[in-house]
This record gives sequence, C-alpha cells and structure tokens, in this order.
Amino acid sequence: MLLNPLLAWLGVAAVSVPILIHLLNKRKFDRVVWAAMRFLRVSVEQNQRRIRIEDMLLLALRCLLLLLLGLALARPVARSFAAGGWFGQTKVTAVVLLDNSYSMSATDGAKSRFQMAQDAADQVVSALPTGSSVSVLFASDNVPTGPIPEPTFDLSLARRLIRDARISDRATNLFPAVKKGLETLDKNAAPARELYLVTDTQALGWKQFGDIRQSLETARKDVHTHVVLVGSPETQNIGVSDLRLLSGPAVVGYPLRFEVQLTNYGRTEVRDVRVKIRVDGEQPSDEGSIDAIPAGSSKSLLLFAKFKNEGGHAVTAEIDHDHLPADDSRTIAVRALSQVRILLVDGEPGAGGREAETFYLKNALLPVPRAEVDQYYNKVTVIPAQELDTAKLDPYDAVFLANVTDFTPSTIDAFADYLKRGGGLVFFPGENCQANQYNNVLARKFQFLPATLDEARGDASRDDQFVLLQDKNFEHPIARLWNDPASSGTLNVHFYRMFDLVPLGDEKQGPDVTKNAQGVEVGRPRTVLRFQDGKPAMMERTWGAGRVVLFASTADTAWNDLGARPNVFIPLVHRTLGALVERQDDALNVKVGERFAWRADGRLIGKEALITRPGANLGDPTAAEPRRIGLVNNTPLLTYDDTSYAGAYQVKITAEEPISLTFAAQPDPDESRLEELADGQVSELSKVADVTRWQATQNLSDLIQKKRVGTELWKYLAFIALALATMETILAHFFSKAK
Amino acid sequence: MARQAGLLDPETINRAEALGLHARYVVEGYMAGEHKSPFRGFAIEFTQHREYVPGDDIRHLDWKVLGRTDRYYLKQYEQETNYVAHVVLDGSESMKYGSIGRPHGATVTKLQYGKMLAACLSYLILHQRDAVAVGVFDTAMKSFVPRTGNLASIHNIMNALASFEPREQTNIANVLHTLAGQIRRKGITILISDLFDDEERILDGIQHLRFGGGEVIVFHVMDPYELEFPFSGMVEFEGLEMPEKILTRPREIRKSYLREVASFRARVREGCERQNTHYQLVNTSHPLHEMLSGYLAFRLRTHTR
Repeated sequence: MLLNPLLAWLGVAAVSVPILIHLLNKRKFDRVVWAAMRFLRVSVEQNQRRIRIEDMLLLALRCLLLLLLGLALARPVARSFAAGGWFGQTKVTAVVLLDNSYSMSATDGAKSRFQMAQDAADQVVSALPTGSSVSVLFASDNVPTGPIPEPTFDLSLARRLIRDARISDRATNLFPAVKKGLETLDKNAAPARELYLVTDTQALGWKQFGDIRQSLETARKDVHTHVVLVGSPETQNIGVSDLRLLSGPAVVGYPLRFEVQLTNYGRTEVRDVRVKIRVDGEQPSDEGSIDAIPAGSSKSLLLFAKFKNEGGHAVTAEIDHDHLPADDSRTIAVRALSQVRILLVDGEPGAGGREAETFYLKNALLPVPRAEVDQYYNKVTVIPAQELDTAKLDPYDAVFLANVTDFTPSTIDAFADYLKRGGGLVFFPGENCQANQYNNVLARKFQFLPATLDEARGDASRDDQFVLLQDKNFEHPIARLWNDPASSGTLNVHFYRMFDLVPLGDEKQGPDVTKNAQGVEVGRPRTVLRFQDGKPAMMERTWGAGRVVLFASTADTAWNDLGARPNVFIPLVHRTLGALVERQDDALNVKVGERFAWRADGRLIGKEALITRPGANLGDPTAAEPRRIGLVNNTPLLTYDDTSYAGAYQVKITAEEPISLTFAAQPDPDESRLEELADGQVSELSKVADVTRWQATQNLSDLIQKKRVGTELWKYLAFIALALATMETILAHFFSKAK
Repeated sequence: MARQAGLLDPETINRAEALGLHARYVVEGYMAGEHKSPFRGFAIEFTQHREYVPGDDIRHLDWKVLGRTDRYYLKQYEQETNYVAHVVLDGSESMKYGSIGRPHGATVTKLQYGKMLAACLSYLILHQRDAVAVGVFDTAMKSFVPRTGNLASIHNIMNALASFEPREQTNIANVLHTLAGQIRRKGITILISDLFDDEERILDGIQHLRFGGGEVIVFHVMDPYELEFPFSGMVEFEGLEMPEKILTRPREIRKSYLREVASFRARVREGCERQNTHYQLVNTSHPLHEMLSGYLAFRLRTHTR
C-alpha cells in the first residue's frame, strides 16, 4: 500500500517528463547543409541502431528513475496487516495490557522488567497513528484495572500514566486481562483494533495458556495482538514464601515464635541465607540463617518476636535483596492481646476437681502455679453444660466444649453468631455425646463440624490396647511444631477409645471456602492430627470468621492419656487456642489483590476510615485513602479493594474513640517462581499474535509500525533511484562519447 | 573583373612565384628522369660550364673557351620545356560547402578555395611561360579555357573560374578519362576536387592520365568541418548533391565519421602514391599561400636531389 498515494500519481505523471523531453529534443535540432554525406551515411548506418537502443535505454532509465522517485515519495509499504486508508494510516483502537505483577520487579541490575515494560508500552503508544485511542490496563491476577479502562484519544495522557505506573505485588494470570482487553476492543468497533500485552516470560502468567490462545484465535480477524516479552530469564531467586505465628495466641509481652519459610525458586542451591524478623518496622528483634536451601525446595526457620502493646502489629520477615526484590520480605498483621478469655463448657462436671471433664483442659490453659493464675494472660471460665444456653459467648475468644451431650437450638444460633464474628469452638466428644445431634445438626445442617462422628472404637478400660498419633509429616500449622522433635518432643499419647471422624468433604480438592445455605463461608475440613493408622484424630474448619476444631477423643483421661501428658497437651491446647484466636487475624491478612473486609462494630456504621498503603508516610494526609464503613448483608463492614501492594496497611477509623487497625497483604509466593514460558508455547502463541522478545536497544515503535503498515520501502526505492541516477549519468556520459 | 577579385591573392602569388621557379626544374627534372625528352640537345638557354670528361659529346665543347684558355669545358644548357598543365577544378554541388569564415570572416567554400588555387596555379604556370588549360567540371567538363601560354590569358581563366556556378553532381572519373583522351602531349594534370565520388573510379581516371605519361597532382579540398566534424546536439544534415536528410547526434558518431574520412583519404592517398601521383590534402581553413608554398617546397625537397 501507499501512504501518500497522490505522490505516486505525481511520479507516474513525472514519467512523461523524460518522454516529452525526448520527443521535444527530436524536434529541436540544427540544420546543416552537408557535402560529405557519404561518410555521414556510413557512420549513421553503423551507429544509428546503437544510438536508438542507447536512447531507449536512457529514456527507460529516466522514466524508471522518476517513477521510483514518485513511488518513494508515496511511501510504499510492504503490507502485513490492518486495513489501511488511502490517506495516511488508519486510526487504531488499542488496548495496552501492562503486566504489573511482582515478577516484573525482577531486575537485571540496571532496569527492572517493569521499567522495561513501561518503556515498551510507551513505545507502543507512541507508535500509534495520530487519532488513535488507547486504553491501558494492568494485567495481574484478578480483574484487570488500569488507569485508562476505556480508550482515550489523549495519547500523551496514556504515556504519562504508563510512565507513572507502579508495579504491584500481585501474582499474574494474564487471561482475565486478555479477556478484558478483548472485551474493551469489542465494544469499540474501530476499523483497526490492536491488543498489546507487555509481560515477562514467566510461565505462571500463562497458566491459562489454552484459554488465552483460544480467545486470541477467536478475536484474530478483528484484533491484532502483539505480545511483547521483556526481561531476560532469571535463574536465581529466594523468597520468603510464608510467615506465620507458630506459638499460641499473640499475647503482649511474651516471646512469640514465628515460622519463616524460605523457598529457593532458583536452579542452584543457595547457602547461608540470613533472615531477620522485625515488628512494626523497628529494629530486627531476631535473626537467623539457613545453611543451605536446595534448588526448588523450601526450608523453615523459627524466629522470635515480642509485642510491646495491645493492638495490631505488622510482623515482617526479610532476607537480603536479590534480583527479584518483591518477595524478599513478607509482612503479616498480628493482633496482640493482653489476655485471652476462654470459656470451658463441661458436659460432665462430676464432683469437680479431677473428676470434671474440663480439669485437664483448665490446667493446660493455665500452666502456671496457682498464685500466678491471676497474672496469666489466659482467663478461664468454666461453666456446666446446662448453663451454656444462657451464657454469653461474645466476651470469649474461644469456647471449649468437653463431652457436651446436646445443644438447644438457641445455643446453636448463638454458636453461629459467635463463629460469624470470629469466635473459636473446640469440641471434645465423649461418652455423653449424642452423636446423632452432632452429626445431623452441627455437622450436616450447620456445617460447624469438619467431620461427623462415626462409631466409637476401642475399649477405654484396657490400657494395653491403644492407638498412637502420627509421629512425622505434620502438615497442619497447629501441629507443624512437632515436625521438629528436638524442640517440641514427641506425641507419645495413648488413645484407648475414640470416634472415627468422617470428614465432610475432600481435604485436598475443591475450593478452600464454600458458601453454605445461609451464605456463610465455610472452609474445607482439614486434618490437624492423625492416628498412626491414618484416621483423623483432630480436625478443624473455618466457619464464617471463626474456626471450629473437633477432636476424636475426650478432653479428660477417660479415653486417652493426653491430659496426663502435659508436654504434649499444653502445647497442643495452646496451639489450638492460638489457631482459634489467630482466625480473627486471618481477616487482617489478605493475599495481595484480595479484598480486605473487616467486620466492624455496629456503632461504626457510616464512620470514615483512612487507609494508608504500605510504604506511604503515615503523616501524609494525601497518602491516606478514605473509606466508609458500610452495611453489607446486614453486616457492618470496612472494605478495601486496592490491596495491590504487599505489606502492612494502617487503618484509622475516626469515631468518638478512634480505632486503629493494621492489616497486611501477602504476595502469592507462586509469583516468585520464575519458570519461563516454554519455547513451544511461544511458537504456539506466534500463530495468533506477533510475539516480540523485546530488548531495550530495539526500537519497538518501528517494529510495530512496520508490522502495522508493513515495511516502508521508500528508502530502498530511493536507493535504487539513486543507483539508477548514477547509472544514467555514467551511461549518458559513456553513450555521448564520440564513437 | 569584380568577380575575379580574390582569386589571385598577392601574397600567395608572391610566395608561390619564388617556389614556382624551382618547381619548373623539378617538373623538368622529374620528367627527364622518367622519360626521354624529345628536346634534349636543342638547348636554347645557356646555364653553366662544366669540365669535360672523356665520353662527353664533343659537340658541346665550348670552343671559344678552349681557344682562349686551352681548357676543355662543356657548355650546359637549360632545357626549355613548354609543357601543358591541365588544371581541372571540381565544380560539383558538393564543392559549395563552406563552414567557417576564412580568413577575414567570410565563409570560404571549397569551390572558392579551389578557384583560388586554380587561379594561382594557372598564373604561376603562365608566368613560367608554360601553357595551361583550365577546366571546371561536374559530371563533364563544363567550362574550359583551352591551352594558352600567354600570361594575358589569365584574365580569361579567372573569368571562367569566377563565373562558374555549380549545379550538378560530380563524376570525376568520367572527366579524367575524357581528359586523358584529349591530352596529346605529356604534361601535368592538376586535379582540384573534394573527391566525393567513387575513389576506385577516380583512381582509374588518374591511372589513365598517368598512362599517357603525364603527371597528376591531386589537390584534395576538404572543409575543416568535414575533417573534424565538430558538431554537437541534434543535427539534421541535408545533402548538397543528394536530396537526402539525416537526423542524428553527430557527437556520438564523430569517431566513426572521422574513421570513415580517414580511411577514405588513406585509400585515395595510397592509390595516388601507387601511381606516383602527388596527393595533397587541402584544408580550406588554412591560408592558401601556406598550403601552396608548403606543397611546392615539398616538391622541391623531394625532387631536386
């Protein structure tokens, strides 16, 4: 096609010029009356044919020269795609998808992938023909948002916004972005539509490769897709893949054990990795190092931290920066408590003291001399099962139910309310339990329990027949402590009789959270501890904002000797209590990109909350984003969606009594995996899109323009014309030499 | 008389006269070397004495010297020939060509130049008291002044030359053959022409003339433009003799043209020289006196040894 077709006609017209000159020249001559015709005739006869050929040759050369010049001025291009107009380039509607997941923070030392992607996107926008519109979307793991969700004609604005774009700590899944981009283009029925996907070669983003390919294939005739891959493959990366509180409840003033999990995502073993832990950005409270992490595996380390005061704290574990800095630290929000209030409901109080079903539980929760019980942070209240119906559960952080026979409907409603607000329930069955009600109401109807109670097995009266607990491969966070026998001892407990727990749902498969009939989010049942025969001994599930734990055996020593083994029972109970209390913290820890939702007190409805992002200056009023606490499904909720950045978010709620909160967003550790998109996939992708592996030295604008309008040929034409002109001059000189 | 003006250039005459005196010896000597002169022994004009050597004819002894000095001297005499020179000038249309003004700006055609040459030669010959016959021809002899030895006849000659206007094509060979048939006595035939005819036939005619024992001198008159072909651009050449037009870019065929001319001249010259005929190229851009005196000096140089 020609970009300036008018000039091509000019060129065609110009071709007539040498012909005219040629013809005019033939008419313009000198007349000489000549005597020596005979010599002349011979010469002419000898030469006329040659002269004519030479003339024709020169004429052809000159015509060609002008034609080429005209063509060159017309800016011809070898077309490759996109419909073109006769006057200049077609306006394009483009969507630029800029991958801002944290793998894009990988840097080669000089520039991060994201900076390169910004450069690339900038060049993409600048390559758009005048009058084009562009939409810029960020592609990461969830619904793609972006500074320009709908195409704008203000290309300079687009470029500025691309310049100012910040990388997030999200993971990548490019498919939603591609889909959104195609939808946006679909709505804007421009003649030329282009989709630009600027991303790195991380395989993770392409996990829905088939879908991406399919949708690009479908849209192919309408939308031209460019995939710009930036960044060079990274072979080494260590990241803090997990950080959690491992000891019991986070109580002020007590040293708390945190587990830091480091993962080596690289291809070679990494040695001597130093890890630090700090609270609220202060000096590290503890540090340690891991000798060696083999390639592709994870190792954990226990570090201690202490909270000085009650309330929300941000705990950060960090390692030295490597090429991918985003995953070198991980922050969780932990709510520090000054005391933990526990309600023990005794289904078989007996005569009290040792006979009480809750005797061992109470002791385990208060593992201090009697004189210090008042100072101890655990505040334990024991009530008999009969009082459960009237008891208020809300003041308690956790409720332990030991061998309670059955529950009134009002109690069950109270459980539901309690759990919704973040309470924790622990069920210890026993002889008194009406398994039917447990199973039908608690387990099946309300889905409180993670499992149903099957037949009880074993004989409690025989000491010689017992079942032991598993002694290794503890997966659940509550039990993970015992993975390290050196520090935690062994679970040498004899179980003489227990219920068979039948999990309500698959532990490994299915969604983490499902909604029950009442619209409450119910977590997948998970096994905490198993017997050596593999059957579950302890299970838990989340329910609403709370958590429910179910044991297979009794809380007292009727069916087992757990209570008699404080070295096992105390940490187990404390870990369980910690898990229940922490459940309230779960709401404070979201994955990057997930919505933060905080269940507020009813009095706070309509109040404003100021949320400050990680890294922003707390004193800076412009850094804080205002949100209002609203009523969602009759629940007062503070929600915040823009959790694109990992780290601690500070929330200040302006009420009569100002409330401050800390919540934290953790990046998806999967994003740290830097596996590359397979070559086969790249070539597969090339079938539906233009794939460019872009280096900073390349001129992407040119590349794109060439692809859009084809290669401009005028340079070549001009060059040929020049060569022709030279040839013409030489030939003309040579021809006009006397012969 | 006005038309005769310019045919005799005083400078040319002046310079040619001095040379022409010697030329006569040359002609005579040349003739004597080649043919037995019928006039030998009838010496008329004394030239010098020579000492007697045995074998000399004692009839030529100078008795008076012998009687006075007792020495033997022979009297030597200048042989006086009264050869007839035929000056034939080509008056065909092709001779009308003249390119640039010479010497004073006026265009000199080959014919004019030839007329001047013919007039000068005639004058020279008459002045030497030899006889000359002048003719102008194209296809045949058109204007002819019969043999005359009288210097006064130069006026007739010049008149005839001046009044001739070319009208027709040339046929040199025909004229030469005719002339050869007419000439009874050995003499010199001087051909002044551009020779734009078939050179083989011209050479045949010359041979015919030479066959009778006479000498032939060919003055090949060429215009400088014909020799150099200095045209450029687009030129249409219109034939003088032939009604023909050729449109060409002369610059591009110049070499070929020059080659043609050179080879033609070479052929003519070679043919002439084979027949012991002097061939002299006459470039009309050169002054007549230079050319003529140059040629006469050449004759003198080559034939008075």
